[in-house]
Amino acid sequence: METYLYFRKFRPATFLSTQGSATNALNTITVATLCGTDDIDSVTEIASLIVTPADAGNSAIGSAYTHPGAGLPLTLSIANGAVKSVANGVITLNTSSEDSDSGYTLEDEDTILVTLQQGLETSFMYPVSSLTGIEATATGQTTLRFKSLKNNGTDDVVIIEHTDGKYENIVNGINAIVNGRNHGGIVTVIDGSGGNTVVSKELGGLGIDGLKYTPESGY
Amino acid sequence: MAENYLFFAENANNDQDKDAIMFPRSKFLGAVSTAVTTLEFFFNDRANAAANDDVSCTITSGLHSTVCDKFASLANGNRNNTNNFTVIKDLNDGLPSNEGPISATGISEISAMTITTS
Repeated sequence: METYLYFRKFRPATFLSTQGSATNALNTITVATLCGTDDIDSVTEIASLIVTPADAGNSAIGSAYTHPGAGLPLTLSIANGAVKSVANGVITLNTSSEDSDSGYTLEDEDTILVTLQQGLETSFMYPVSSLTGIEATATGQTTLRFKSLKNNGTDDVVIIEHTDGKYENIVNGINAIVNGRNHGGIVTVIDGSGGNTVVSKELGGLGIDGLKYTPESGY
Repeated sequence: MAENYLFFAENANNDQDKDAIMFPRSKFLGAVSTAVTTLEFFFNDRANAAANDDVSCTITSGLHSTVCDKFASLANGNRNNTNNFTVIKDLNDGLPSNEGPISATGISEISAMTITTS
């Protein structure tokens, strides 16, 4: 019997950005407080974008849209090019001139509701046999290393943020998961999705509030 | 302990390169989400080349944890003195009439797959 370790990054279910100025960059989905130290960097993590315009006077919207009126929601088309970029927790929309049909030029006080979903490297699973080591890498930070999925030369790295001084408790907990009799299949080690943190009982009470995943290369 | 063998097959015929593949469980390295409807399984490369082999599966939206759970259950399902041939998913629908896939069992949330080998 092999034990499989399942992880899912910290992510809020939704994020509401209220534009403080006429910029197409949404407010930052703060990595420290909302994303458990691992930024949102992929459009694949965005399930939907709903704009609620502050007023009805905005004509700089894509041809695929009909202005809904002030205070009414409009769903943007991600598939057709509403998003310009996603980097470091900042989603930037295309303006109507950058994408004539699905762009949307935001105005001051517009709000955008972002709904998140599973996307690129949001969740991952490793068999225990791929675990190569657990090291204390900083105060309140423990790093798990796994054999790389792609075999491109370096390990895959999983960083767990936790209460200071709890490294030994973390490794004890992982050891209990691996060698305990309670498991033998999949174990959800950490699941930070939907704004709720679920950790394996062996890691409970250790103040786990961050999970950063760095595979050796993207996909 | 007998080794468990994990079988994947794409739809249509299993008669060309990368139509189907089987890995021993011990060669499984891990899985990672790549989109809301995709989950990629990695295995040690059969040919011992630089890059590992992988099977990218199209799954029911957002059910990565469910698929991982079922995979773990199937991969761990081996027992001595039993057939350890384990169908993770067999989508082959191109066999002659009166024949079908090796097994209709497997992970129901997987609807398509792409096998990549080095």
